[in-house]
Amino acid sequence: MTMTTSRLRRGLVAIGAGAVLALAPMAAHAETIIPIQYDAQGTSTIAKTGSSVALGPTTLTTNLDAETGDFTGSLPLPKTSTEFKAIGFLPVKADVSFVETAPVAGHIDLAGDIASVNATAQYTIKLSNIKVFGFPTFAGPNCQTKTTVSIPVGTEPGVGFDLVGGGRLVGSYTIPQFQNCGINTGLINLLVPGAGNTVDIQVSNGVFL
Amino acid sequence: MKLRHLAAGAATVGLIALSGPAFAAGPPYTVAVGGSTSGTQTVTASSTGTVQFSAKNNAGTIVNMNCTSVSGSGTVTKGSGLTQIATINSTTWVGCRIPGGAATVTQNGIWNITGTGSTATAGTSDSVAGYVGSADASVALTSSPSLCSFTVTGHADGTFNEATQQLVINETGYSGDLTLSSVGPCLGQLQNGNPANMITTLNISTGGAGAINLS
Repeated sequence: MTMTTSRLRRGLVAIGAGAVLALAPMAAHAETIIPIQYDAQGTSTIAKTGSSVALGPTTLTTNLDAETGDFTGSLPLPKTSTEFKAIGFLPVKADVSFVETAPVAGHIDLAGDIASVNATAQYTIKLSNIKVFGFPTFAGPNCQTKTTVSIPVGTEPGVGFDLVGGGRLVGSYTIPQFQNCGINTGLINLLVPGAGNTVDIQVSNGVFL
Repeated sequence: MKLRHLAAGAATVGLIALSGPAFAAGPPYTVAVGGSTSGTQTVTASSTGTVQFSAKNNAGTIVNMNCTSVSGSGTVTKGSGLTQIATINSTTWVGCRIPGGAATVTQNGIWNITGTGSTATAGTSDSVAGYVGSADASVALTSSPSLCSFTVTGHADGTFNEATQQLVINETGYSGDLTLSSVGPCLGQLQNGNPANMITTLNISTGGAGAINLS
């Protein structure tokens, strides 16, 4: 009887130890998601028109996986406007909306002296209230890029990102063709789409939620 | 054959005798402060510049962690037959950063300075090799929660220069003398066991009690 109890106890201890061992690796690899919010503000320069579009002020919300450096997030951009001269003299003004189509996804790398960031944001760009020579033109409510605009941004080479203080994120992107812009579709597609558009965003004041 | 061995042995002895300074001694040492060889002497230390600290992660990437300065206090043991020359009782680290932000560095326990070099003479211009032993410090990114913290333990090689009264810490090569432990989470980019380097130069002051000399 004593032998049996002793064996049983040893067996239970072994099972307990096994369970601990089995659980330990899971705990060690558990994801640690840290939500961080930053202030964000910047500009985008449209290559073909040479015009600037204000980006923000807004809030960049990220969920950082502290175990891997990967993050996802959201960078909602308030409606803004842009103004440029078509064919050198024709004043064109339009409201611009960036509609998020997917979460911002990125990665933070620790190397050398700095933490570097690379991320991609995805939007549909919508144009509305298009005015030529100050006269409203009918563009419809669905004047937008045919496909998603993918905007890769990152810290500049050798320039770091402070996880609390933030940093500067820059990048360049391509604007695809527009559709559903009524009589403006041709003009817009002549003037706006193309590569070499730049984005420059200052991210600051990180708050760990 | 035997003659050849004898000749080779004699040549080796000759080389050894020529390569070291006259009357040079290795550990244990006689440690004097201002000529005194009894009791203990409180000393302070301050870095002449930045403290360069770096770790090599499992992927072979070097991650730098620097401080603008470090200062500290300790005790030199005077007397003869000594290998452990001094202790570092406390340190204050200023302006520390690891990639991603500001960091704090906290000394754990008491560190020691132990001599290993065989170049100590009665002269006052020896550079004696040694190491900072029992080194143990906690490093943490100041974010809350901290996205990166770890402990550095081991020893850092260095040299005490009698002429300048400087302790030159020059732990290089990621030899594993210093290693990281209790790493977490550090974005998964530092791991337990990562070797570390450390480079800094410390001015050692005895507060007017005179120069430290090893012989």
